[in-house]
Amino acid sequence: MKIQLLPAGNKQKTFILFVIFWFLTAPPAFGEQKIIVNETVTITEPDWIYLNQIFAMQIRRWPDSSAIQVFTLPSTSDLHREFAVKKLKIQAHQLDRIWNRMLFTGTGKAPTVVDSETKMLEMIQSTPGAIGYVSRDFPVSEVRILTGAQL
Amino acid sequence: MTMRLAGLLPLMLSFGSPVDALELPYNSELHGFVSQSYLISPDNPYVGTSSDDGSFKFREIGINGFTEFSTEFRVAGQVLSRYRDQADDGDLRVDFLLADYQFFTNQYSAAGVRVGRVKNSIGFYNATRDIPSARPSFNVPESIYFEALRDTLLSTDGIDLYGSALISGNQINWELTAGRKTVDSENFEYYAFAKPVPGTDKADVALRLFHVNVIPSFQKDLRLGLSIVDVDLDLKDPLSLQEAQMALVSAPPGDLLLNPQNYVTGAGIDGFLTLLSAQYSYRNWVITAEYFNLKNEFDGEFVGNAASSSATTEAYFLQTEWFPSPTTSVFARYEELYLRRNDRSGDQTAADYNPYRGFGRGWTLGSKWSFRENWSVSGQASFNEGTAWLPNFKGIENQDIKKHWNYYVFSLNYQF
Repeated sequence: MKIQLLPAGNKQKTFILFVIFWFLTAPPAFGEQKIIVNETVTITEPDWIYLNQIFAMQIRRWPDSSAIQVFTLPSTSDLHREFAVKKLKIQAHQLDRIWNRMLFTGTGKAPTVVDSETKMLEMIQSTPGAIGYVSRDFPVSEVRILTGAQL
Repeated sequence: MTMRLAGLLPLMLSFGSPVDALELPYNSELHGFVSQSYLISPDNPYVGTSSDDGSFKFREIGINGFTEFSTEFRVAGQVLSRYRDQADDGDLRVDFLLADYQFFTNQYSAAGVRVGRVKNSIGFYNATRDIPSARPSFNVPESIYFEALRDTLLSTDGIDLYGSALISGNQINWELTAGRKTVDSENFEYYAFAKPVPGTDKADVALRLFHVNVIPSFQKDLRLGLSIVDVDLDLKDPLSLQEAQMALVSAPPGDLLLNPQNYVTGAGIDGFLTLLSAQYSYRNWVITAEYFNLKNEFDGEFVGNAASSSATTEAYFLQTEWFPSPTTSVFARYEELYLRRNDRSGDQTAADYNPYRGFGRGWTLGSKWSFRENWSVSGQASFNEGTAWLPNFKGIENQDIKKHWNYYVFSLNYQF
């Protein structure tokens, strides 16, 4: 008996399914990220909603009333995109739109973009109230690393 | 003015990314955008006849800045220049100019007040309809955000209370806005009469708005929106009774019925708009749908005789966006608009020069590519039946309008 796994008529359908599957599949994981804050920042275990609100620039002050200074890598960087999905549960392109909306309707501002993890660390070290992120294996000092079950 | 603004271009190009941007004292930033489009509309005139065989007469320039005096208090403003062939000459106008005081904030909620000229949060796109980086391509969905109501709904001079809250895991953002503004009345005249009304070129608009967005706890990839707008518009300085009577005396018999717009001595609309919005994001896909329902109470006065009528304008769109890479996006959209929801064929709103103005149905396909930081190119093709969202311009009544019409746009955008 001849078993035809892939009848000729279904080839096209299978190809389409494959293409759809490929489209839906996210790029490979970049690895974990760690969230770092300036040593003046006192929070310790933020949940993802709080982080989401901070990076979406919806909250301007830390609980002690000091200004939150948000730093990100460029929206096109793999680390940023992975961070947005994993830690903030939002797609990077959605974040971009939120920032553009606030900037160009006068209702808020966008984070400060830095172009490398080294620069990110420098800015977090030197800016009171700063929050940002680096990849898990990136060595850091003179900053606080946020911990917590959700992270 | 446009030429002077064009002179700013090299200066703007000299700034780098938003990061290194132009750093100003007192925690201030300056940003802007330029968008230049090439539009081809071979079937119907798109805000003028230049686009019949392709036109560059489509340009948007915006410059904005803000200063933060503290974490509670900030001011922000933007000037905008829109050049659109016959419809807009690119004159600078204040897009928004506001003071913002956020009087309450904690980890999960905030509340504040903005005073001044504020953009109206109506649906997902009203406030950002002129911002190239915040829309899929050349324009936002035309079924709901059609040009005829643009000026009326875009912004208001008044007060805007806003807040966000986390209630049982549901993320809620809300706004309450109230204000007044004087706008150019040409678009309203065409919307109501299909032709210009003599004597007047301004209208007073009073607007009250409630807007809420919810990200429900059970599905964080879903965003639901509701906007309710109570808007009243009154034509300023139409013909006096005496002028209208004079016009009528010298007109051919029956002209009052044929061309009622020429004898308007007063006109206004009380509108009640409900806009429902939903957006679902799944990985690199975003699906958006909105439904628009505008109940109009029209009160007119023709040579002193009052006449009133009511109608409901209805529209919806369905849009799918796909982000195949961090720098590219592709979208497809289907939409419909009916000036009178009970008159799908548009018979009641037909004008002598355009029997198709009461309805619109169409597909739009487009894409955007950010080819380098701050720069993008976008293109879109729209395939339409009916002209409910074909933008008006003075003189369109002398054109031959077709039922089926397509147009194609390419844009180059820069933002800093």
